[in-house]
Amino acid sequence: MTKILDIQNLTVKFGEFTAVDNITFSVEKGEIFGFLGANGAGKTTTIRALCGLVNISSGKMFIDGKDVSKNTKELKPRIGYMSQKFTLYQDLTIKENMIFSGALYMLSEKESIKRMKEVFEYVNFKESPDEMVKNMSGGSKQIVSLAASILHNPEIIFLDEPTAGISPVSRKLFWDLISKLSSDGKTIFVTTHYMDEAEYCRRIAFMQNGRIVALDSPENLKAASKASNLEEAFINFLDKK
Amino acid sequence: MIRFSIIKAFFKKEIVQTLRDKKMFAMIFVAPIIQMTLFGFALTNEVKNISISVIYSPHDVLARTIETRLLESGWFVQGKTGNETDHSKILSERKAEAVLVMPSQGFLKEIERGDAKIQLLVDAVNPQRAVQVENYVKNIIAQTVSQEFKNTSSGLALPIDLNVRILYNPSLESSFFMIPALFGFILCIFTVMLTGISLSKEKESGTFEKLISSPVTVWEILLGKTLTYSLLGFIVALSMVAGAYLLFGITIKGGLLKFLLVCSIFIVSSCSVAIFISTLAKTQQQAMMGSLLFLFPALLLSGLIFPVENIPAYAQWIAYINPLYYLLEALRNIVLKGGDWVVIAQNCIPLALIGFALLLFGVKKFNSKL
Repeated sequence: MTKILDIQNLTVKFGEFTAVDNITFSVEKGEIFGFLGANGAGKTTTIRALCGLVNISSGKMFIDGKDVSKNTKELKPRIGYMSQKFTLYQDLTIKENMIFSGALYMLSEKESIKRMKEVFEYVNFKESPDEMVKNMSGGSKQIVSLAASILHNPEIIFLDEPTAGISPVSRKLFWDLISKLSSDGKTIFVTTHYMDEAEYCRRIAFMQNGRIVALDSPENLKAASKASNLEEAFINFLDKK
Repeated sequence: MIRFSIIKAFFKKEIVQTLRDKKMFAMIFVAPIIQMTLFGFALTNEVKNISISVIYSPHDVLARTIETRLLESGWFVQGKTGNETDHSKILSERKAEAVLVMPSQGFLKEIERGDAKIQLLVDAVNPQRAVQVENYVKNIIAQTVSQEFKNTSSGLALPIDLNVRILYNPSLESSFFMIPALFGFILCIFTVMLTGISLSKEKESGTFEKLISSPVTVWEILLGKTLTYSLLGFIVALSMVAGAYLLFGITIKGGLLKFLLVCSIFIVSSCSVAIFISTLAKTQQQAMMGSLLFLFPALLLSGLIFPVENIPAYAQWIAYINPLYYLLEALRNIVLKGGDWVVIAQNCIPLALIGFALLLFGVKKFNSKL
């Protein structure tokens, strides 16, 4: 397995506040890598740093061997980012959103529409592309949001709490999709605070106060902390600190 | 690097978003026409219907002529007179707004003697109105007197300063003065508010994160936004030019080309202000408030309503770094006088410099990070 993400001693400070505190880890190509932790643990900031959205204070980040701070322009087309906030335009239709998203990655209108059809087929999304985004259900919105962030066929997909606030059925559908993307060779970096979802990940990292307190496969984490489920394991690891 | 296809995509998106919002649509295309009508008709600072009482002895023919001329001018109406010897009472009791007291010995006689003294009392509750009343009266007296003495070359020094000339707006219609400036002000509101709001809307709704996570550059985002709203601003300005012609018969003496040239230079400044506002505002409401914080002082210190020359010297320098001031000066010149190139340059050079400085500042502040 090749390392596609390599993070060394990453620290992100906002003034006096240290959001990410000297973390080191790597992600392998094609794996589903999960970040777990409470709100404010530093999950989102780590993703934002990797996507080049925040200035880092110290440390190094490499995507496929290339320094993120120096090769931002070259790396951006290779990553897809779905933020915690909803990032589609509510006052545009699904199709208009897709065309605009595609244009940001230099896809022509025709190409965007062609890709939209492919992606919708892939994710099994059946609503009309002329529907206004604001009229869609929460689950559909997340699916379309994901579709928009993989329109340009990126190698690495960052998903920041993609299933927050959607129904259990939609969550299940969404995770099936993530598994499908992973089996097609995409690397998925996902944050969540649903423990049941973490079981889908090949490896997970527990985060607390900007630090990684544990990192391994779900089975090993449970074994190491002598816990019957991940939730227990998580609590056990936090207690150790 | 600026890629045309990305600017085009922004343009399309912004236009669709703007036109789909019915409130926005009304704000863009209906509000300016209403504003122009208000400014042109209602918000006139032209003084009319001033009640005036002229006090003179019954045999004073010249004074009687002056009174007739005053009333014929259309600016004055006959005020009431009382029996008071204290003429200021006429004012305090609001029987008239102005009282012209002629010499009791007869105006003509006093002029011939060489020391004609006439007194004008004006109700100065509204000082602007009072100044105009004074000027009207002076003018009419001067005209009447000089006509009376036309044939006698007595070379008398007339007792009144006659140096009042009215150029370019001979009918003193304030709509002529207001409308060209209003073109500029509306253009300013549009570019500052709409650009500022649309930039902060992206931040508020979270779509800004999507923009900056994609390989789009800051300049592409800014150009995509500002070009769209500048174009909308131009469309509105031009529809106002058409409206001004239909409603007030105002044409642009200097031609549309000069008009558009000055407006384009100005837009750099207003868009830069909008960019700066959006760096501070996280929500649309904040952007709206921020725009108002800029627009009000800019309006008051632009000469749209109050002449900049009347502002105390220590505050005048603010007017001289106010891009709106130069825009309005240039537009008034172009619309009313035909736009002398020297005057255009005098206003466009500072305008371009201010615009460039604001642009550097705005873009530097505009962060492509969160």
